[in-house]
Amino acid sequence: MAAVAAARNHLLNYLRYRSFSSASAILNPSDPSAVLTSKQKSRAALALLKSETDPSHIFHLSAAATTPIKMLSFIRDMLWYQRDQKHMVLGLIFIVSSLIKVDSYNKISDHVGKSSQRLVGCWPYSEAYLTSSYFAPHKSLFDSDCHGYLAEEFGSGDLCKGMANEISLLQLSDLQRRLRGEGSHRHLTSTLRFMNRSYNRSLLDSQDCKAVIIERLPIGVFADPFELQHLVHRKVFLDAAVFGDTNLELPSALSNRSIVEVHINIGIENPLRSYETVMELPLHARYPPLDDSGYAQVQFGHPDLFLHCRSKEAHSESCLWTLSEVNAGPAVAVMWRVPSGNDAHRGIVSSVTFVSALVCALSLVVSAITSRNKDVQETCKNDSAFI
Amino acid sequence: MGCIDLRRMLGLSALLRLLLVCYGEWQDAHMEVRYTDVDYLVFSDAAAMVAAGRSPFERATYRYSPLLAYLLVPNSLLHPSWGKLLFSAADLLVGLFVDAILKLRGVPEDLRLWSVAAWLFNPFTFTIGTRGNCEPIVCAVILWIILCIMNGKVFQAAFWYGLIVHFRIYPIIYALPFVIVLSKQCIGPSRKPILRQWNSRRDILYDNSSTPSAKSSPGWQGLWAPLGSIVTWDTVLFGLFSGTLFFLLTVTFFYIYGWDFLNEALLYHLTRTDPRHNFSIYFYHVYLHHQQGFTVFEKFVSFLPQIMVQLALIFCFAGDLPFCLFVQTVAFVAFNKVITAQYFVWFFCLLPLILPWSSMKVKWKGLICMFVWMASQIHWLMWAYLLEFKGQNVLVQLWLASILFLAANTLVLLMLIRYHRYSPIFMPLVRSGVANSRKLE
Repeated sequence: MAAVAAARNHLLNYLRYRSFSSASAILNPSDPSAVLTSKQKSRAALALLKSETDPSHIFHLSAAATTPIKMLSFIRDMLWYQRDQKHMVLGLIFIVSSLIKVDSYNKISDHVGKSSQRLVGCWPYSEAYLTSSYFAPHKSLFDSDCHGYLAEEFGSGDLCKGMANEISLLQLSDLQRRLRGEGSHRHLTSTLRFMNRSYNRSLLDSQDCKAVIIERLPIGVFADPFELQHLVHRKVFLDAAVFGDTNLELPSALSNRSIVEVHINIGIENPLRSYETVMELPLHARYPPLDDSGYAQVQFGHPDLFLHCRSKEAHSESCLWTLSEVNAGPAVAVMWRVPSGNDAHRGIVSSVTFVSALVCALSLVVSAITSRNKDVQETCKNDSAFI
Repeated sequence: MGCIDLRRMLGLSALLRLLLVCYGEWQDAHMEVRYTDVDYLVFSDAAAMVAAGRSPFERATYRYSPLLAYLLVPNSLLHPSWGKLLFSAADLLVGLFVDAILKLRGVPEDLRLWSVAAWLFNPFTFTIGTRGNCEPIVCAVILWIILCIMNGKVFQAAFWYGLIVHFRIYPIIYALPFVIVLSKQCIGPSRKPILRQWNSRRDILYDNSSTPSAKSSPGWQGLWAPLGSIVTWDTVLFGLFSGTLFFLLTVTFFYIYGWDFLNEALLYHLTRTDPRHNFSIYFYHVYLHHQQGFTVFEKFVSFLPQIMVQLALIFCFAGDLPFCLFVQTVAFVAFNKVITAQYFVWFFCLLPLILPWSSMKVKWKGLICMFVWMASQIHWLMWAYLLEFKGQNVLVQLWLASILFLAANTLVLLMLIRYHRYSPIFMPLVRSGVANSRKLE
């Protein structure tokens, strides 16, 4: 039943992204906020489908589910509620086209290099940042299936007016990560290399491709949102945002994690170097919790990477995203050593601090009093001399 | 000083500051490391919010009075450097006030010019104003308050004092000296207080700054007797008026901006404990304890040296107002829980006021003091660089360097106290026949 529920979800997304505010608006325009039963929802979907004249839309709708099982249960669900001949025919078209689609999808996934690329789907630019659309319904940013969530949530298929072979023009062939610099202020450098998978080389030239990198920062480091804005202003990044704990001053023990989302242009201009794109994210270390060894280790995970290509001439709102799963693989994890205080020093530091403060204070007090007394005694001496 | 006079000096320093502001704009646009201070960007953003009709506290890390944001609204209307020009103008005002105060006390011109130069051409001061820190405004107001007190304008002094305590909390430490000094002033025939004049002779006829009734009993009683005579019309007026103004401003801004204002602008400064490294000796202690908090005993013990020193300095030196304020500020900064470089400007503006009364020669004692103070700072900065930019664990060495800095501050203060010729600013009520010198006009 979970598969059926997922299929219904996909349908809802389809309805939503077809710019209907809710499924009920289709059936009951006078009362758009009414809650529908699942029967009503599927009726609404079929009503839409009936009005669909563009065969490519029907074809794209057939990719609504991400697995064949979900696809079939989606169709079964719709057919069950309708039991209509005409719709049976449409349902058959679904099945056939979905099978074709699934087959071609498998072909794509076979071409995995160091990372696997999965078609996610597309959605309009209603949200400037992908993370905020995840953040709103979920209070926590750090579920392990955030990644899976994004694939589920937006995997409602290809709704674009584009053609099937635009789906994956670029594929990530290599991702290298490095921590550059010394001390508390360093740059996390991600070098992305892509492969051109389209058969037509000039097709890629007519596209604007960009990458969205979502870094889930460990608790010991933070990114300065104002610094990122400065970089956006200087056109190093297309856009950047920080979600979560952006406090710049507190130590790690009193802070929470944060997510950084960076949008950058992919280097379409240098095909000979595998469209190499470098992203340098400036990061700062927080004061870590106390440690006996004198250093704390901060470990970075892998980022989430979204790729997006859009035709330069088209000004439509639609867009096509692919989600690259970056495999852990044999890559070396990026580590940052931050100096930390030593618990063992606590007693001696406190006592020496207070003693030195008291000593200095006392010396000043004594000096002030003796200096005034000296003045007063001189006055008396001068007085007596005067008299 | 030859052909240099005050006007030329002010013109030269204005030119210097203008050039630095222009250079700062260039560096911001072309280099990775900015010339402008981060705080200035915070003020500008907050001022832009105010210009858009919103609260300045929506800008994170804005921890100042809303008045500062109001002052900087032309940043978004005219030019982003308006604030820097304003602060540099306040710089020059400070120089002007220093000259006025010294002239009122009869200091000869060449000595005055050296003192003013000690402020205008001090590298700390011209970089602070041109980088966009608001401290020069505070300094200008403090000096204006001193001028008002010296001219007998109690109401004005109280007004500015209430305002400046709202703007920046630290001048609250000057409350007691102001009140003590106001209780000692005697109004002369020209309805202005009679000021003690500067005298180049080493062994001048000192006057015990305590009240006439206690003059026959020097020593401890001479220090404690003034407490009883503090309550005069002037002092009560001063205290009530400035306190009321501070209260009114707080209530008004609380009404407009709510708890944001109270937490960010007031309570943050009173309860601030920053475990990140800074010049203060307490930073490592705070860092080692940040996970478990502090006991009441620890908090008390960390305040004790500060209170002791402040009270001792006030009761010993209150009569000589500029010197008292200066040593108080140096001690306050040195014993504070958090010390940043911009706090040094607080006492640099008072330094020119005490130089004519110091019998310490520049060679060699003066130079040694300067060298010791700067060297301990540079030593601290070296360890801080290794910690922050090279990632080495030198926290213990850094902490010892901060203790050394405290020792250097104490040493410089001891030298200054030792070589200072105590001279209260107001002539006392008695002995008018002996030392009744009028102000030189």
